[in-house]
Amino acid sequence: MFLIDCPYCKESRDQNEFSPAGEAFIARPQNPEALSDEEWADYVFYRTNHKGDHWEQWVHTAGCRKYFLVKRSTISHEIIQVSTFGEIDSENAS
Amino acid sequence: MRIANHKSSLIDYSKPLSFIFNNKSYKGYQGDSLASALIANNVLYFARSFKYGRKRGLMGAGVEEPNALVSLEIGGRYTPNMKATEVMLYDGLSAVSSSNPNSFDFRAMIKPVHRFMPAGFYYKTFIKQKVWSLVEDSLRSLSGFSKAPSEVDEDVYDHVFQHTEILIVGGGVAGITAALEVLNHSKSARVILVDERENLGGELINEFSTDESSFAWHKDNVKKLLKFKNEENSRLKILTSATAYAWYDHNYIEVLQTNATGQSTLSEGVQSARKALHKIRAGEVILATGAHERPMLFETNDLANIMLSQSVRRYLEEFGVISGKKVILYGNNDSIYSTAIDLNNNSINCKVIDARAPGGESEIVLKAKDSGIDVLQGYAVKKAKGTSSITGIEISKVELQSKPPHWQSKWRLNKDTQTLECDLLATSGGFNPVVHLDCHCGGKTYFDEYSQSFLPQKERKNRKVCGAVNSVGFWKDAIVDAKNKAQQTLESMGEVKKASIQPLSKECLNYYKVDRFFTPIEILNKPKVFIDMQNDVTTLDVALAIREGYQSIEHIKRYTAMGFGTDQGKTGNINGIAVAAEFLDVPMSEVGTTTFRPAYTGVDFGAMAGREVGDFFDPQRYTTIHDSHVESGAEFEVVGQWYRPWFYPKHGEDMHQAVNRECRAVRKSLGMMDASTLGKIDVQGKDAREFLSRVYTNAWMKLAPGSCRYGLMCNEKGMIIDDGVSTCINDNHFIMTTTTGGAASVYSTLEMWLQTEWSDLDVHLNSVTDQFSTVAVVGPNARKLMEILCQDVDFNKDSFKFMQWRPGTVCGVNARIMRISFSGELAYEINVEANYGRFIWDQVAIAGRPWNITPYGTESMHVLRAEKGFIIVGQDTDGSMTPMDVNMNWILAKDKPFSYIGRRSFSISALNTNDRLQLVGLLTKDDQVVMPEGAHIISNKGVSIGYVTSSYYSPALGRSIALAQLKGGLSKMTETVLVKIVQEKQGLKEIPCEVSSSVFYDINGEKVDGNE
Amino acid sequence: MSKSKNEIEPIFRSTFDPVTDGDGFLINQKNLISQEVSGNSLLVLRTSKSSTNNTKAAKDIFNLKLPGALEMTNGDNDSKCFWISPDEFWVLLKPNHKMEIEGKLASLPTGVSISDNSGAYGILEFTGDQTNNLLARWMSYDIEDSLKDGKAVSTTFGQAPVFVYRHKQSLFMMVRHSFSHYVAGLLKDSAKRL
Repeated sequence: MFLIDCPYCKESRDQNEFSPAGEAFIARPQNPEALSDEEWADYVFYRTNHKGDHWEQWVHTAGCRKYFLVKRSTISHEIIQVSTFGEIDSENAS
Repeated sequence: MRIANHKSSLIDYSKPLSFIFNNKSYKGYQGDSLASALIANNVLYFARSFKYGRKRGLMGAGVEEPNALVSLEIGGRYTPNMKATEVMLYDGLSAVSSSNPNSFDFRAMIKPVHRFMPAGFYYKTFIKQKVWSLVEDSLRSLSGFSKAPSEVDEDVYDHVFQHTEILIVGGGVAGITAALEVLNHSKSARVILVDERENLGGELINEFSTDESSFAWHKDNVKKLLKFKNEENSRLKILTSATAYAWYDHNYIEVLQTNATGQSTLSEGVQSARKALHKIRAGEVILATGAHERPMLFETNDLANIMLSQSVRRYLEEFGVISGKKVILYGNNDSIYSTAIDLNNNSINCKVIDARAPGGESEIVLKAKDSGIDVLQGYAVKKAKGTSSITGIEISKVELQSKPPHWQSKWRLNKDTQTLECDLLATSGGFNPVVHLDCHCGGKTYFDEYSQSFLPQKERKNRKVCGAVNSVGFWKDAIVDAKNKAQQTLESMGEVKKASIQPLSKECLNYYKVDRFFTPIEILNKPKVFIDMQNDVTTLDVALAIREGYQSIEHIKRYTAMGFGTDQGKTGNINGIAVAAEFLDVPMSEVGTTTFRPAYTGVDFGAMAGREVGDFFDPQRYTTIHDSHVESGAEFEVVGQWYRPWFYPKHGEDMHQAVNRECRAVRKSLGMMDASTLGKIDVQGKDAREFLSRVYTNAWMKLAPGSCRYGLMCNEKGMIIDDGVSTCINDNHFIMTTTTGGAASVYSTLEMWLQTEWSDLDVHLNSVTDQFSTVAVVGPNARKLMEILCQDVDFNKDSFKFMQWRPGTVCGVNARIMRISFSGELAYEINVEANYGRFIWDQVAIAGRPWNITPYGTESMHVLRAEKGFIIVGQDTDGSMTPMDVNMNWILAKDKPFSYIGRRSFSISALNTNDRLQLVGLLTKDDQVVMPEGAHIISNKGVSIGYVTSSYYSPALGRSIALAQLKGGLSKMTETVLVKIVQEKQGLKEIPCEVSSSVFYDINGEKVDGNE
Repeated sequence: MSKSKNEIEPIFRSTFDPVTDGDGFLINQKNLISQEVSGNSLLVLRTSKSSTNNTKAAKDIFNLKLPGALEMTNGDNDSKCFWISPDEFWVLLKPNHKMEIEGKLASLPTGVSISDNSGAYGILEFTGDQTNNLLARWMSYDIEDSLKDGKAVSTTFGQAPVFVYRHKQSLFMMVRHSFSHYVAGLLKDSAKRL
């Protein structure tokens, strides 16, 4: 059970607080109707299944419930980098 | 036998214990292991081996023991395959051998045939399936150890999460030293020290009788540790009788700790935990796990009373017992001399056979000789003699020996042999560092020629190794090594600026002057030179594997079953590697080790489960109305984690009768249902409508505040994943509902879209599933009841229409009342804050009495909706049905500007073929037959063309109804299809059905307004 | 019959009422007490991308400062504000305080929303030396070292999601009511063996 540093909570938490959410950087096509069936199938079904450093999404299900990005080695499970998703104006008050 | 006048700090001679082994009674003492107590009682044979059924005795004193497998207790306390060496004796203990050495064993009877049963025998002999199936049962009943438990484990096991800055595995000299060093040089770091034995000290205890300073050191340092432990707000935890058995990512280590008596105790009515599973997350780990001795190899080396030398010493020193009177020590290193000296000090006759040539003797060798012990140097044991236990050995002079570092062995044994008598042979072929834990999570080992051992890799993040596991075998050196490693740990934690290191000489890595693995071909080529005692793997098996092309050590292991047993090859594998190296003619480093995997020693399933058994296995989620359902005698159905009333049997009704009564009541008068479990999501923001439009197939832009609409949700593949009614509170505020089971995943999916794709949308989602209780009031008389319960809403059917909602006060409680119907009847769902759920339910039940209001459960709910052809996502759909497949084209909005989730997939060719499974109704020709759900529809070619998804007896129609997925079903209306099932004791049954519309009742939807 | 319904006083049942004893104790033993804390309202405040608007909304409506990550702030009438995520805060208030501010909820700045979740949670208060030991049976979070006074985290308790915070010597745990029986069961069971 490995540890993940949640970039929002800014704390290291056990894997059981998180859920994996697939390969990262797969943008939903802006105009799906313009894609051929093959191109659409590529978006819906195909993933790289990379051996080595893999950019993926995780969500902090039992914590802040935010999605974020993780660069993880699929060989050693080492987590190389963690970063937030999109923009949140985060001065946040205090 | 027991040594008279033995002084042991660990045996309490004032506390005698009684126990039973193989149906005979014996006595032992507090502090004994089962093994030591049996040695004291002169029990020689403990079990039979796996394949050949050979009678075996003890080999070791600890977890490395391969032979003495016993099963403890019976019934709910029964535990199979414990090692007698790891069971601490308690009063009333009862154990049997896992395979009784004293009873008749067929395998042993066919001894002459054993040489025809080498590794691979079963596979090669029985490879033809027909032959195998004939003999499989008999062979299986002959082999194996013990039986699986047949009763539920009675004991309680706790799990405990632990966090620590430093975890030290191993409480021997090195571990104790490391613990004190880190405690003394840090201010707030938490330290956990773990050891598998009851007492700290490890192998040091063996030195007490011959080295006064070791005893003093132990006493002094354990005292210092206890002082730290007993401080207020102590930062030291010591876990004894605790084995660290697994190491996972990021220094997460699991430790199994046994209650002192090995069984649960009942005190003041509370059952205490038999074992505790500690789940430790450590910042830094210091491994001080020590080393296991490995035996020497020779012919018939598996006879009883051939043991490991340090184990014999431990039995003598720690337990005060010895299993022989005439002992021979045999080995290739100095440690056998310490055992000999200890035996001699206790007046036990012993001799030493040293395989190493004379010359360059250490002090201990000279000391042994000086005390009158017979020593033969440069001799090898070729064979052990005896039928079941050892009676003597045959030795030969070792003639030729290569000097290190050249790895190829070039021994030759002289043909002349001498025979020496003995009744106990204690051997030592060197020491194997206990690297297992280190390798569980990717750590590697390397073969060190100087120490002749596999050592843990030099550097690993956040981990240090010290002591015998690092090949620092002598206790005084281990202290230095442990201090150094502790200092390095402190430095990497920032507790000290620079680690203070004391150098260790190279000789420390091979203090006992272990010579290379003694593997002369004259011995390896003999039969019955056992490497793996438990699985009967011999040197010839390894040779055979190699001859047949299985040359990698991982293949050799699997081909021969070497290391497969419950001892995981702790005494055998490294020798096996040396044997393989010899046969393959390559260095040890090239052979390498097999992969070490958790668990290091056995873990009870009960311990793994902890308290997550029975009612705690899965959360049981209840609504706030739950206890009322219980009081009403409801039977429950588990939906996801929720306990929902399934039906409410009255006066001994069965389910069928209860459901018929409930359904009739709903359609004729009035029913009530707890619908609180449905997922509810609060959607707020100026883009709320846009959001709903993107995730549902239908249109939302024009839904007016005060109205509700049913929505269908698909995934990107175009498959239905959820459905539910959403309510418009105002333009920026909606409440979505989901199915009970889909709530969490739908919420998560919606958040995923919002956060990862549509962060520009101004929408917030909040789960309000637990916020509201929902009481559904259903039936033609619903309006009348609502008018009584709620005074501030106009329930007139033209003022409060179907699929609308109104805020109101129900029995004094703020409520949202929604006209939604899953049954097709006039219905109102009263939503209140959950704390009032029970109150509202009770008021509804009381006020509804004049109409005989009937609580109904999920089974009736299913029947009522099925009569109306409403799908249940997850029952009538299975993730492979599109809206078109379920005949819901009407719900697909045609002109939404955004390509909503699923839309693009609807037009791909695979989703538009005419042989897709489509949802239809089925009416059995024999209208009283209710088909089982899941029954398949079989074509006349004998293949499945669909299956029954929902099936009930309909009280409203007086006959059965069913929904099914059928290939091309929507164009097969009125056709006859055959459902086929196989019934127990009745065989195949064919059920002809007519394909029909999925709406069976109230086809025009007239009842929803309460029309009779 | 119609009028009498309005005269019946609604019965409010707190979340842990079915499992606590007559005095509201879940656990009452040496060095370990667990009691329900009821009579609080819980509002979920979702914030916008404009931190200025957020700060202003928190001040205007609740007179509270928004806390930083994993922190809590305190306001008048025993009100508390907890950070849940960058755009989610929970405000714990007394019901009369909630009623007072009800009017202000109608005019929230763009992108700020409030949802009442008062009925969804129950709160348990733990006091005594054995609190950490008890919770360590089921929580993988390092409450001993990482949950100091004023810290508030969402994490797991067994298989249930919970929210815990430490405030003035006590540890508080907020549990969704549908998990309350499960959580209470685990707590009582583990406490027996402490």
